[in-house]
Order: sequence, then C-alpha cells, then structure tokens
Amino acid sequence: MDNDSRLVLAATMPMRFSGLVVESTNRCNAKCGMCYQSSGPKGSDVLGQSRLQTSVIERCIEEAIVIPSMTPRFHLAGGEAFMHMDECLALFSTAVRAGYLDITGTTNAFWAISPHQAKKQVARLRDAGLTSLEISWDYWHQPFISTSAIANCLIACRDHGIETNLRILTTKSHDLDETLAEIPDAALSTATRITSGPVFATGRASRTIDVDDIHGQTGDYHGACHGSLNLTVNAFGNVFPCCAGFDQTRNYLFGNINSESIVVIADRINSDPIARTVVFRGVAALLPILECAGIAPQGDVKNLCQLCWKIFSSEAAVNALKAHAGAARERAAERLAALILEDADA
Amino acid sequence: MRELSAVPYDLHRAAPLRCGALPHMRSAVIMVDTAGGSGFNPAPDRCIDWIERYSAWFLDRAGIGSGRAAHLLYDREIALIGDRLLSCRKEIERLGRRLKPLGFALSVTLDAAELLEQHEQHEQLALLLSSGLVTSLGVVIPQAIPDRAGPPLLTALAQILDANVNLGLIVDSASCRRLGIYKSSRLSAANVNFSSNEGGLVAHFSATPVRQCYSRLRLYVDPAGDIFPCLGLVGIGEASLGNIDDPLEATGLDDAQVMDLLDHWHRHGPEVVIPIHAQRRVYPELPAMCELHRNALGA
Repeated sequence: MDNDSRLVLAATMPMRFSGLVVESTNRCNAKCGMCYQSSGPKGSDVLGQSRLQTSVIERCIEEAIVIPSMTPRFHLAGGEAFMHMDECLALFSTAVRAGYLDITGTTNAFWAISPHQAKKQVARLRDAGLTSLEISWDYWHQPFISTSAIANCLIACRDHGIETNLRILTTKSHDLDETLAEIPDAALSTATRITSGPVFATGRASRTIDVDDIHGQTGDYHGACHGSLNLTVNAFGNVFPCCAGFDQTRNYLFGNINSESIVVIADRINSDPIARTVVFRGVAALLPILECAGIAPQGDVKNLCQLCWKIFSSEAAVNALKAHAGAARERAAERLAALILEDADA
Repeated sequence: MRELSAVPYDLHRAAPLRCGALPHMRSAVIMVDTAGGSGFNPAPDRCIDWIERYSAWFLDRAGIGSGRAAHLLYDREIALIGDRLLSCRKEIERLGRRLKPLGFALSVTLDAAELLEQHEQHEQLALLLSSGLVTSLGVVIPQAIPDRAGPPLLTALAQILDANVNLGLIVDSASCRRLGIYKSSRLSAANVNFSSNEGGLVAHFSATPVRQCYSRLRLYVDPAGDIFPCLGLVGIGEASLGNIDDPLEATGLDDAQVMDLLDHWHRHGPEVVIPIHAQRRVYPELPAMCELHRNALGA
C-alpha cells in the first residue's frame, strides 16, 4: 500500500476491533521466559500486580457490546485468568447474556491435571457459553505445565465440541518439533488448529532471550496493523487497541474502565491521532518525529509490535509524540480560524 | 514528514456490526471444478459478473455508499478451493485482477500432490506468487502422501513464505512429523496455521455441541454456480440461496425472510435434536452441528 492510500485510510476508516479482550489478572502460575506480559506469580515484572474486579469486568462486557465496529467476540486472557475458574464461568455467562456470539479464552491448561478433571472443567466452561479455547504451549511453558495437562485439555475440548487453537511460540533454538515432540499424536490430532509464530522481543523475552536467537530481520517493522486490532482491557483497567504489546505499557493511556465507560474510551482511541497513525500508517511513521527529538528507539528491532512496545514503553518518546500531536492540533486550529476569518471578510 | 492529522472519526457513524447475518456475506468461497485441470467451473466470466453484482449489493445493503458501516469493508475475501487449481493459474489471475480493485483479498487452496508435480507446476506456483494477486494460500496435505515428498514439499512451502503470502496447512499431526514439517526451520520461523484435516471436532455427537452458526456462515458457490450459506449445507437444494446467474434480487440474499432465518442460525443455530446416545459420525470433516443440520434437512 502506498503512502497516499494509507493517508486516505487514516482519514476515513474506523478502527475495526475483532473483539473485546479482557486481561482479568496479570498473575500467572507460570513465569515463562518469553512472556510478553512479563507475568508471574507476583504479577508483571514491569507493571506490578493487578487484578480487575469481577463486577467491573461484567459492566465492561455489557457496555462494550454496543460498540458498532467491534465483532461480538469476548476473549478472556491473563496472566492466567483460569486460576479463578469460577470468575471465568461468571464472565462467560455474562458475555452470553450480553449478546456476544464467540466466547473464547486463553489458558496454559494447568487445571487439566487429569482426564477426569479436564472433562469436568471443560463441561462447566461449555455450559457457561465458551465456544473455543486457545491453549498456550511451548518450550518456555514446559517447566511449569505438564504435557499431560495439555493433552487432557485438548481431548476434553474435543469431546465437548469446543474448538481449540494450540498456540506455539518459537525461536531459532526452540522450534516447533521440540515443542510438539512430547504431545502424543492421539492428543495433538484433536486440536482444531495449531498456530505457530516467532517470539517477539517484548516484555520478559526482551531480557531473557538472546536477540540472535529470535527469528526475523533487523528493521523489518514496516506495515500497519488495522486488520488485527482487539479492544483490550489490561489487568489495571487501561484500554488499548491491541493485545500485542501496547497493552503492556503505561505512558500513553486512553482511559480506564474503573472510571469510564469502555464505549467512551473506544471512541477516544478511534479519534486519537497517534493511535490512528500507528494503526493505519504503521508505527514506523512515528520514527521521524522521534528522530527529530533525538530519541529514536535503540537496539535490534525485528517487527512492528516490538517497535510499538519499545516506543510506548519510553516516557521520553511518548512525551515527544504528545508534543508533536499538540503542536499539529494548534496549527490546524489556527488554519481553521484563518479560513473562518477569510470567509467572514468575503 | 507529513503532519499527523487529528482526524476525529466519529465511531457512531458506523452502523452496528451486529446487523444480522449480513456481515457473514462479505466473503465467499468458490468451489471450483477443474475437470482434472482442463476446465474452470463456474467459468471465470460468470464468477466475475456475479462478484461485481454481489459486491455492489453488499455495499448497498451495508449502507457503505451512504457513509455508514465502513468497518464492513475489512476482511472481504474470495476463496478458491478445488482440485488441481494450479493448472488454472491464468484463470485465477484473471479473477484476482478484477477482485483487487473491488477490495477483495484472494485466497487459494492447493493440493500438495499438485505442488509436487515437477517442473511445470513449480513454475506455475512461482508465477502465481509473483503476480501479487494472492493474499493467502492453503495447502492440503493428504495422509497418503509418501515420505519422499517431504523435502520437495518443504521447498514449495518455503517458496510461498518467501513471497510474503500467508500460509495455512490442512494436515494431520502424524503426517507433519513423518514429512519433517515440524522440523523445518523455515516454517518454525514463520507465522503458520495448521488446521486438522481429520476435521471433525468429535468422533461422536457431543451432548452439548456449540450450536450457533456464528463462525460458520459464509457464502459457498458450488461448481454449478449454486450459492449456499455455509459449507455444511452445500449440495442441499432446499438450502440453496440461488444461482450466480440469477439477478441478486431473485436470490435468498435479497429475501428478508431468508436473511432472518440466517440471522437466527447465526445467533442460535439450527433447530435440530441432539442425539442422547452417541452415534457414529458420517461427515467427520464437518462440525457436529452441521451434520445434524444436514440430517434434519433429509440429506
């Protein structure tokens, strides 16, 4: 897509969200080296520990369903949201009542400790309205989660008609084959889908994984993300247009569901010039502003989500962007005032 | 650089995405019969004529021409599935050239066996990829494919990834292990979807299957040009929405009652009885609810 087309998109298209994603907690029973949320038993290494109140999430679910350009999909994630199974069941039921048609979650399946337990819990989830489940599994989960739990979860979901997506992350030294080797074919073949992708150097991965082990080429961060947005609420209640790293930052905030309706916040995100630039023109379009300010992101950047996370994790970078957007707004107001005066004179 | 424009796009200009089943109609799958590689049915001209009329109909019904519901312009796709599609590269490209200005992505599903037919098919694949018209490619890898096919198949898959085309594999896990697919460093480095070709979610009917058709509705056009609202009902005359040669106004797409029924299915699923006792599946490649729906319609 050429730059003019991107400008037209930026000026005319609404952001389309593929669903409401709620990260109800940032605590996790695992502490995986590749976790983009830096989650662990004590919450996020970077942002601290937080968990949303169930009543606040329920209100958010009920409010968000009216957002016109959001697909009626509710996705519950963490941390490990399924550490609070009864809360998950309540939230899925709320989503069904509110009118969501696709009800999904992400889990590491720790709770599927036996075939019996797995079937019992999946039956409860199904009865609460769950339609599909994403199961995180890779080299870094293995010290915390048993292979048999993954197998039990896959089979139980198959038996209850729940679609599954086994989500795997890889690096050069930890490939698909290594990850899948321990899962018996009898269980693996019940996965509706296996989705594999490279680890991004964001969150804990940026500190624990050697940059040379991460797939991708330095500087390969061009492109836009308007096709892959989710209206995301993090464990602090802050709302973001995606769940791919931006949601794990705290310097450029759009609003918080503890104090505002998500409908108002979604509108604010959609109208925000910085967010629209990132979404429709690509985060690389912000680099010239940061270069002018002398604070271009340093280090090896291999994809646009990593670049986005790096920029919005930096207070100095965000201040430069805010100053630029503020100045642009002032110039626009001055031009508008001049046009009105010209019109009045004529 | 150009200035950031402070565009206060009004989200409320958008019409709700939940306007019934209409959003499901933004994409279509054309099931092509290539007659062993010597034909392309429905003929490309028929397809193009229908897609142009269907696209205009969709934009009108969604209100996009009136400045509403612009978000429904996302994710519009025409998918081609069928045997030996690579032998119809020129027809695919012809379709693709018309689809691009209409705002549709083009997805094509190929058979692994065809990909492995040297040399000519490799050239066809290279030409198709270099056309820039295909946004994603699915590759069906049957269980019967021999072990020796592994290395050339991986070369072809790498060729697809190198062209920055999205790749999805329809394959079972045992074949992936046998053919060395999981061991491929090129595939491990990429974003790839593996969908099971063992298909069915369950070998038997679940007592509580997911009912609603929300994730399953999409237009399917069979080789005769008959249009169906989902894969599960393809071939059932009673479920046909019409034919691609019909005026749009004469098809189920323009019939309020039909669209109400599709909306009901999309929210609640079909009214079918779930067997109390487990029964063996006849169509394990379909979700259980689709098989029950076919049974209910007497197929």
